[in-house]
Amino acid sequence: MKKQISKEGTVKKGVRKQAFLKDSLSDIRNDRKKLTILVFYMIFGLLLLLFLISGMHRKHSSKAAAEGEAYITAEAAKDPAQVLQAIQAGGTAVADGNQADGQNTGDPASGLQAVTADGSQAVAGEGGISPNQGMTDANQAASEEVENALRAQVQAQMGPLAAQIESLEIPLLSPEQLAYYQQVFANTVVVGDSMAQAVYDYGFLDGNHVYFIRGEAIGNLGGQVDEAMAMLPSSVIFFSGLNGTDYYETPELYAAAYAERINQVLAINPNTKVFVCSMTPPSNELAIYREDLARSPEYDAALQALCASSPAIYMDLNWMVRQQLYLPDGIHFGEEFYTVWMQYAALFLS
Amino acid sequence: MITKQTNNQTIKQTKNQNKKQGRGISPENKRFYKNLGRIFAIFFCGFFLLHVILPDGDMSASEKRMLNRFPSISKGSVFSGSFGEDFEEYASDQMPFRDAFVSLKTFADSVTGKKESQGVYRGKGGFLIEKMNEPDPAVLETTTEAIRKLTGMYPSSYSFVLVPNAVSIYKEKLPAFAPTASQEAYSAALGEKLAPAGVQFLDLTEALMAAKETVDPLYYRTDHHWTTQAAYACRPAIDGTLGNPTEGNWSPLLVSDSFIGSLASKSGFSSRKTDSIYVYVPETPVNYLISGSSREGKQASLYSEEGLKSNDPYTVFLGGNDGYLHIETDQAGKGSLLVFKDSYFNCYLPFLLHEYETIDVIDPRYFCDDLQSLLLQNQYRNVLFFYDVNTFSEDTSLSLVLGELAEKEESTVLPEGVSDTAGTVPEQGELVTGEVEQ
Repeated sequence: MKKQISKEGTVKKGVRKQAFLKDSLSDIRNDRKKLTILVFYMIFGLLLLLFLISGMHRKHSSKAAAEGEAYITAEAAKDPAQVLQAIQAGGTAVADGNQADGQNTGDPASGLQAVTADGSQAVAGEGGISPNQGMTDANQAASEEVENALRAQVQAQMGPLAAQIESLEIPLLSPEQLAYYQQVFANTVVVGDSMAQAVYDYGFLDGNHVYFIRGEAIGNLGGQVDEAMAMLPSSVIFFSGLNGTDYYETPELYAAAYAERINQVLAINPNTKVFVCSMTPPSNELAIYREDLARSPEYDAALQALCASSPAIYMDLNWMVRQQLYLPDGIHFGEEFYTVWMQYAALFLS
Repeated sequence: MITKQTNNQTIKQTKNQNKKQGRGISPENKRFYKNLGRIFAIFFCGFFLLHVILPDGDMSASEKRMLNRFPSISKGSVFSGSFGEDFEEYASDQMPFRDAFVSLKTFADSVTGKKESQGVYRGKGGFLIEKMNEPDPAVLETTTEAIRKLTGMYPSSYSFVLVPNAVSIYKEKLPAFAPTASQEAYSAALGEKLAPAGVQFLDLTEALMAAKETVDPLYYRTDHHWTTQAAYACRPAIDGTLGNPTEGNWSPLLVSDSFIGSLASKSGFSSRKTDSIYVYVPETPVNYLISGSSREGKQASLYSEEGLKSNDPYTVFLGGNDGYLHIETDQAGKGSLLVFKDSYFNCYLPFLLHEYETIDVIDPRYFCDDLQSLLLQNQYRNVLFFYDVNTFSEDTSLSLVLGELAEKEESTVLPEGVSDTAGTVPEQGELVTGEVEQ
């Protein structure tokens, strides 16, 4: 009442408000049901708010773990390629990212290093199919020497395989043999189209060793090459088939696209050994009415020429092609063909 | 007659009165009920509209599962009733404020004294403990039989490390009279069955009980896993079983203190306290590379940054469970290890890196590669089974993977002493000369 005297106007308003509240409250008090429902809603609303807030609160992480988080980030940022070098070197810890690349002077393939140490310069230009523009004569000579020695070695050992192809009596690999060859392929990846896919489908190698897109031209397999190179392989085998004749108008364009993929590999790791399988021809039956596919020997010749002038090693498969080994589609091959392929490729890797 | 008439009159009068008064509702109250009705109508329509307007979620972060999406309508699905069922699941999964309602329900349950939800006990101090279900003896028999067959086929040094769960180590934290199966009995039965196969069996109960005084906590409060601290404390026991020395100093490093684990989301019991995840950093670093069946390329770290920042920070270890992992280290000449494991092993793996040149890790639940080829390619110095009791007692995937291997072996009829042929020149020896290039 004291207030009423001192500030008349405002107090009158207050009194009116108070009276209104008093009325509504007494209304509510009169009806217990109303009261119960009101209380229920208040509690419900409060809890809902509480849990919504607690849900938001959970996502906050604190600063105490910052050092640990930084450690995990640093661990994850380690360069796998450098760690591989350290492992091969016999356990020198990788402290930081300052270690020099490509220190394997003892590697017979070291002659290939200079070729595309700078990947960008080596990418084949329009019409140019050679990826080794930067190669010195000395390096080329050394590389050829190594390649020739390897070919001679393979030639000397492939007699039994050639006999199997001649007689067409090709025994499938036993589990032990398969396991052995898988070990030979441990640091090798196969990249290509359906021809490479078969290596995976027949169970010769697992998904970490084969990267393919069925029906895709070699020029569009850049993503597969990147994925394959993330496995830090010491060798890459390209195995791509007749899609090239469909996709590229001329053998030169085909070889240029192939050169790009080879360069991509060497740009990522110049020490990688690159093997390129021949483009196998269609079956005689199919060649009769598929003239486009029948041009494959021209494309294969271009591929062979590319390999001759580049660090990539051409892996000739034409000696393995027999009409009886084709699948009914006249393009792909059955398991027997791949059984020989696996053993033949292993000769290059050993 | 007179009395009857008067009675009838009084009844009629009261009926009329009732009508006038709106069956006992005063005019003021009538207005209130009308408004209440409106509020309910707005409430329901509002929820419906929110449901339609708000985008549907893909995944429930707290439950760690995919939520149901709107089912496709077709004649067949409507008439078969499957559309109705799917729609009901969709409606309950995509309801607005779903998580809040789930928490509210659990809160209400805990207020009314409910101590168990989805097989999870709310223990003392809000410690969540998963109970052990009664193990199926048939599952135990099949699995141990499969392990026995494996030991017969591939000679190596076999060990089995069984980690008890919180339900066994933190018994005092369980609510009073909480029923649960005995892990000790299970462990004893397993050890007995594995003994004839020559498998060294290590039950970590003793080691964990001994560490209980000094290491706290041994298990996460909100998750079913053991802590890295507990794993570290068990190192000497495990190294002893594997025949490795326990060397080197490791320092713990806190990587997350806002971890809310799977038990919290599974049960819905909210916990005011969050868990802390530690990793151990070795004094002597080791170089290693890891690749796996569901990984792209090789990585130089066992820890996953994405995992740490995800809704399940325990996946900081190995980024979760891969079917097959291959690890190569710089510890040349120390032999190789094959592990069959569940997620308890994920935080223990770093402690093994200094002891082996290669480590192959198989999680049979997700494994679909060729085990036979793996065994033929390697001569494992140690083969280790690493499981926690709860998972192992219900696991059927290990016996499936090993059973498949046994079938393959039988169908190919291998010469005796398979391990002798592994890594040597196969039958067509003349094709292969020189050493295998790595």
